[in-house]
Amino acid sequence: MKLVLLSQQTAFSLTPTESTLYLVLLDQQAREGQVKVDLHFTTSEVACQLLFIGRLAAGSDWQLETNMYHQVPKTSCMTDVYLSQADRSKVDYFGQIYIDRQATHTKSFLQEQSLVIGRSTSNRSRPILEIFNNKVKASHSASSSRLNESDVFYLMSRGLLRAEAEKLLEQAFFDRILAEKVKDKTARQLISDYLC
Amino acid sequence: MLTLKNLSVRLHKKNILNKIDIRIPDGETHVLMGQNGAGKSTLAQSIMGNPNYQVTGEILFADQNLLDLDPQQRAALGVFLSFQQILEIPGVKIYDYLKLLYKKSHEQKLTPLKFKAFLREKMALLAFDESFLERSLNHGFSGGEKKKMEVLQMLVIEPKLVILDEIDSGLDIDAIQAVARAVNYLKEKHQTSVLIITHYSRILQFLTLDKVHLLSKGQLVKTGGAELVRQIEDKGFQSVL
Amino acid sequence: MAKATIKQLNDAYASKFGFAMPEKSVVSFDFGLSSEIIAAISDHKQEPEWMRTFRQRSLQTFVKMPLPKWGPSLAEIDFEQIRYYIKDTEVEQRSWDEVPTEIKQTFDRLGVPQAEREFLAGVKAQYNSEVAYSSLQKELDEQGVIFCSMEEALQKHADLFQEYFGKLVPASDNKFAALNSAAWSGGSFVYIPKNTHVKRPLQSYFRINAARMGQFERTLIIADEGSSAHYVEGCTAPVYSEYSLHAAVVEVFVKRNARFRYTTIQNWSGNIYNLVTKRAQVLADGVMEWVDGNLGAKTTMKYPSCYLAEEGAYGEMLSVAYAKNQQIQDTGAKMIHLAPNTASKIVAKSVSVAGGQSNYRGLVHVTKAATNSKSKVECDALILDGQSGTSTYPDMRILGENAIVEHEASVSEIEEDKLFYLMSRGLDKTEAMTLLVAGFIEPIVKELPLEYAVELNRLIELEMEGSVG
Repeated sequence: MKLVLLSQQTAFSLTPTESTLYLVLLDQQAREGQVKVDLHFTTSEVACQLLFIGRLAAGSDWQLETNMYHQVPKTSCMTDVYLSQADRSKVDYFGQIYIDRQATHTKSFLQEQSLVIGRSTSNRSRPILEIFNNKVKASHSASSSRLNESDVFYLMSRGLLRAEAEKLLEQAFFDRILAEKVKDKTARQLISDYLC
Repeated sequence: MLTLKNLSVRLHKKNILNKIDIRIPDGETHVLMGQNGAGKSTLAQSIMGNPNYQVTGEILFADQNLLDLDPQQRAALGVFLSFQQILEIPGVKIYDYLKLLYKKSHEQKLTPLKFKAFLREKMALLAFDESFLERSLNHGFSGGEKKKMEVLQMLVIEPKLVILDEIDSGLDIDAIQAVARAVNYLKEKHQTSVLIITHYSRILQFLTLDKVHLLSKGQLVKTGGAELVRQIEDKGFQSVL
Repeated sequence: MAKATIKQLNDAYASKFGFAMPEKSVVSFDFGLSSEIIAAISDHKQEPEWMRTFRQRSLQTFVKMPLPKWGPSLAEIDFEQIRYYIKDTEVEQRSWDEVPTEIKQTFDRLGVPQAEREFLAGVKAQYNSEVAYSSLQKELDEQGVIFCSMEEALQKHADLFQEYFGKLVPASDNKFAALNSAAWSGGSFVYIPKNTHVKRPLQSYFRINAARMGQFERTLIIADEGSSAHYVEGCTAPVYSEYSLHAAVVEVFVKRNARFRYTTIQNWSGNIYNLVTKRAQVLADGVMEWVDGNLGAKTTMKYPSCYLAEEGAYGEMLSVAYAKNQQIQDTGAKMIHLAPNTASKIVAKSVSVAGGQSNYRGLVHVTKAATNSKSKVECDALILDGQSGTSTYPDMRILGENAIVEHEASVSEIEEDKLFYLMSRGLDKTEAMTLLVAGFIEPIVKELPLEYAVELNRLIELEMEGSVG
């Protein structure tokens, strides 16, 4: 699978002609940001993955949007958005899967998870499915939850500071995703570097 | 009488079975043995009419070529297949489902009371608890319970030809005996023909066998009497080939 | 009082008696809506001054408000062509012979008793079940429960009525709530006293009457502290209405520790826009459950909501939608978490077939005050053919600390291997699909009162025969 790192721009409108992993690493220092990725599936047998990884800085304000347009038969896509949220960070995510009438045998899945680490965060998500034929497999899931306080407590009881414990648990959250979702070696390296 | 003539089967452009000829006269019990991947389940699914398989040749039963018929038309002629991979269908209540199966397979109607009695008798044969009737079809069942539920459906339908695809795998000895009891009951009552697909001889000792067929890599390599089972049991498949 | 109440209730509902009711039997007003017509409704109902003012103000709001900018198109609704009725007590009846054959057949297949059929088809004005009704009424009277028409409540329980009416759904909420507020007629008023538990669903007699829901029906329910009850409205049998627009408003107040369930089955005929505003306010440790089944109508827009206003409040929505023949079922739920430790759950299932479109549209809003709150949403859509469609539009806004919010949605078709399994047991394709569809919606159907569940399954069977195979 080809790897494409999407950066430097705020909006991408792409028409993949071969199976591709698109990777978006959100700027960890940015106070605000906007990223919109549209994938137009117009070539059959193309299977893509779009992966957002983001550690959202304290007080940052993000607008994220992904749109998958399946227009021909036999395409597939995994959209994965994984975020951790520091104090007062805000994110508004809109993620759409559109499967046209003639786009039979489409598989398209979307998963968004946000791990709340800080206080006073805000999260809005709108995962949208629009499906117009029955030969499809499609689903989305979105969840937002705080990191587990008993895990934090456990680590603190072993002498870690709260910040250290939180950092470790955040690392574990992303590691799990890396293990489950990222097969490509270069992509793994990029993500690992990002998380360091 | 079931007659397979020159039967070849393809799945996803791959040949699975080649030119199989088998005849099972009414009331006879045949065994189909073979190693994993030999094509045993494909044979069973093809007889039942799974649309995923491309079948050529002939499958004759009750003076009809089954290849011209849908699965439910084959079932209506009296063909029954107990699946190896048994699906869970949540939300479909077993009692209602069995009632529907009975209605579809019998001309004579039973009053609810009589149908309950009919079911009770079959469930007793399988040592099945009646509380299962309130549950969803195969939903959350153990492997053994699913197999017994297949056999219960068979007893409700009272078919003329029964194909049991690895009905014995994952069953303890009590359950195997219960299944054998059910098969013998059906044979005695309805002259049912039986095709048993299995790796093991455990269930076979409780049944009277007429013929044993051996399948290897999609070919029918040997047909013999019950003694073939013993031979395979003692010396393995390779020795027979 | 029982007999008198029945009479009154029947009268209150009489405006809804069926399809193609002879026009002369109804007090009808000119096309369109005007201040004069609204005043005439108030005159006819002999309403107090505050309600007259409320209606007139609502009318102004209605005129000013735009149509919703989202969701299914409502552009075809011509408000000028809609007549606003209130009924006369003398209803002229049509004869059973005039009832269209296909409707009779549907009644047959559903096993609707003859007396109910005649009533549903508009042949009979009154459904004779005084015995069943009066025993329920006696029970309710003994418990101090009020269960009567809105018109009666406005006259007899004026203070209670005025305290709660329009407090949850103001006229300005949306255009159709404004329309309802201006022109409402009919509907139920329910008051359950403190610590009172009503065992039987509030429906038994009203099952039939409630099926003839009004054009702009209004329902107001107050479940006082520690009480519990279950209200059921609607009918699985197809209900034929001459009105093309139905805009009901339902307000439910669930006090501390109270528990209320509101079940609706809707099977309007295919010419109807069914645009309903339903809202519940839930106080500390209260429980509100909406159970909602939508089968009929041309376009349904309905998003029952729970305002979880105090700590420990819980809101739940279970819904099933069946969209066929160009129908649009646009349904969902709104859960607004306003206090700490509140929880909500939404389970929405839909079936789209033969060109039907079913949408889930929902909101989960965890406000800043709603710390430690939880919400879980599950949407499952089944599409039976390539002509139909389904969409899911959830919106989650999470501001409260320590919130856990989960949303899952999936779209699937009938699985081929399950179909083959069932067909190998002798079921034909329609039977097998019917069984699988019934299995798919069973988790919701099992929550319905038994007779509704049975009828709903029969109805699905009937629908499937027409649209599959």
